[in-house]
Amino acid sequence: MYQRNDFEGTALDCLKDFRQRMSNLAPFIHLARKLTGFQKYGEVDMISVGFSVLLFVLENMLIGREECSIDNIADFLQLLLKRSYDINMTQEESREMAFYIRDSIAGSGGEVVDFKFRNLETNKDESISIKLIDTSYYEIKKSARYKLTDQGMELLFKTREIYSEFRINITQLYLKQQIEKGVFSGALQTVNELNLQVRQLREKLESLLLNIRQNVLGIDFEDLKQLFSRIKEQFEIERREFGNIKRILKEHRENIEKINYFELEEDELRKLEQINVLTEKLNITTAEHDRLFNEKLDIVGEYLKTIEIRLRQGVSEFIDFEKSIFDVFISINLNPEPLKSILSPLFTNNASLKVFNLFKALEPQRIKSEALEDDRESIDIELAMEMKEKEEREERERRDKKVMAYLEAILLEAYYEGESHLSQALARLDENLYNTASFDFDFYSLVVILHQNKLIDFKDLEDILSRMVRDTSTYNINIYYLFERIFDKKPELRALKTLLLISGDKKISFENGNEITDFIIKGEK
Amino acid sequence: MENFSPDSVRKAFSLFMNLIEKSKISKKDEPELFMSYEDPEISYIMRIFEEESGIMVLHSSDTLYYTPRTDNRFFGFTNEELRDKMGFANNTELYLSYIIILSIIIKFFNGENYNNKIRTMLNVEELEAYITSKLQAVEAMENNEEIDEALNFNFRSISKLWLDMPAYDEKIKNFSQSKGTRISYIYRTIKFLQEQGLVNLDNDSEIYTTDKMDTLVISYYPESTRKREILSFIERI
Repeated sequence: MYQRNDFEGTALDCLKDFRQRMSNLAPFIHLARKLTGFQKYGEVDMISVGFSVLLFVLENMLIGREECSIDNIADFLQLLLKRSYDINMTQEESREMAFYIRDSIAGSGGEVVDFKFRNLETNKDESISIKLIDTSYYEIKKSARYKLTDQGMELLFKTREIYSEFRINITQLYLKQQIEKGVFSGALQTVNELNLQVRQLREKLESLLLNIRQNVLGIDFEDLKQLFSRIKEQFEIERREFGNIKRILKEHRENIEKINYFELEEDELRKLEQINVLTEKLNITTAEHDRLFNEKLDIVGEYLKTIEIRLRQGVSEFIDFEKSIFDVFISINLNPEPLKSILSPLFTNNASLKVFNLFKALEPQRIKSEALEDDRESIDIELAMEMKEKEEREERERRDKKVMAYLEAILLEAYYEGESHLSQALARLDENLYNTASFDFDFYSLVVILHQNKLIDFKDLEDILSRMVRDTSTYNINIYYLFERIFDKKPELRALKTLLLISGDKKISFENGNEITDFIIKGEK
Repeated sequence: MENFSPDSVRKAFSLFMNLIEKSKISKKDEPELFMSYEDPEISYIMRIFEEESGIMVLHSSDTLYYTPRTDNRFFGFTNEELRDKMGFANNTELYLSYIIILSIIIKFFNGENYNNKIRTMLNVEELEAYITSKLQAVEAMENNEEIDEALNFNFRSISKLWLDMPAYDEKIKNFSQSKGTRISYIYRTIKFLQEQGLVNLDNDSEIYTTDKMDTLVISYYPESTRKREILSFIERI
């Protein structure tokens, strides 16, 4: 039962922002529903014609011309129907059609129409206001002028062929905005979307290449050249944009890292981690995008190569397997023996080529099967993953050991001195580690974490550890886990009951110019 | 091109043997070998090998395949070998299998004016329905006993075998091992085509042609002299 509920919960996640999505869909449905009722010219596709009127209105708005009147629309319709259907409409008829289309799209030239729908997210009946065109100017008893509303413009924008090609770019702009505003959790979701779009782009390019290989004679070279230059240009824009996003992310990271340690909030640490994850994911997406750019983009080259291969193979003619072969057999009831000759070029008989060598019996037996090959391959992948995990583990361990050394010094001060200073703890470090600490972000992070934790009570340690799953990310410093390791190494320190780091007035100045508050360390046994 | 360098002959022979052994040479897996075919001298020697061995090398943009020329008994199959391979008792069953293969080609490659690939997937059920409708047309024609007697075999014997069988029997668990239904014959044929690297079967009923099949059908058959040769097989009867 729980499982079913869980499933339902996950499945219903797709309904999130249902209203928003419906409000994007609604203008299209509205347009299709309203335009289908014009009976006078049965052969005229009213959806196409009505849609073309929207385009005409937009065109008039774009080129700075005076916005169009109903007579302009009527003239346009007259021209259109003559050209596409060879229908000669009188001025009166074209005005009638223009009014019909106007009323269909927007009531009497500008009223808001309610589009009713069931919001499946909230399970309520709701409505969306639709207003695609509006009167921009009118004088009583004179012709009004029409313009598209924002909603109408948006609808037209969404129908542009180029829209899908710009999808990656639009998502990039969105991502850039999110990063600039510091909405990193939202940015993470956008990077995932971007990743999906790059994968879709790969599929699109692969199917284009496949189409070239399978259907090279049906492709118009000029169209292909244009497509190629468009894709190439778009790729370049996207590449530049990826570079920009990475730069902005880097700047954000550097800005946070520049903040003085005692001003670092938990929020900033979280942001830093998000930036880390974001950078990693973005790198994967960018690498895939670059790979596509380098490997898949030679579309024209692929076309020329395929044409060359086809030319080398001689003059091609269409062979109709159905009419010239199958139907001939059927219609005159032929002996099917020639089918063998027709199909035999498809099959190769490698088995007949094998000859047994008697000395084979003396060789050690080597059994090689497909299953083994598969196993080997999967082992290789597993091995690669294992190697990667191993590297990550080692990296984490190196870092843990370093942070443990800082922490141990602080604990030793607390244990032996009861009350001491951070400068004293630092004095316990060897020279190398002392120098490292002076510019090590981990050292500053550790001190901030200890300070923010206020009074750390070690009697809770076991309880905390038992409830905690070891965080394997390389970024987080897990002080509880490190305490436990230090206590295992130096059991006498277990006598410490509490630890507290409080600010003081003094500062420690490192040789490299960095400064840090000389925190007071307090330990109670 | 009279005096070939020993190195070119060696490379051409290596290419030839690899192609025969593996049935294909792909640019991705064996870039050096694949590219050697581009060398004019090696390519010339390969053409001599092709002529003498009765095969033909087919070239897609990133893979080389070969096909035995019609009735090549060394690299091709005899009817008997094919019957053994697919487990058929007689030639009528084998011919039925040819019809199934021909129908797969029709369904995938019979474009409007040229032999391009017109679909990516074919359902087994659709294939069965297509063959059935075609063979029903044979049954519907007037009986012509004279041709029957003169040739021992004819199309009617194949259509009778097909149409007398049920299309499908849900009791059968492994269709490629059985023979009692039309679907069984399709699966047997597909199994053979899979072994030949020509098709793949997904979700138990979706047939996909491989790059090898696409290259063979699109490159081999439509060439004008081969087309005439193929059609002449039928005209000769």
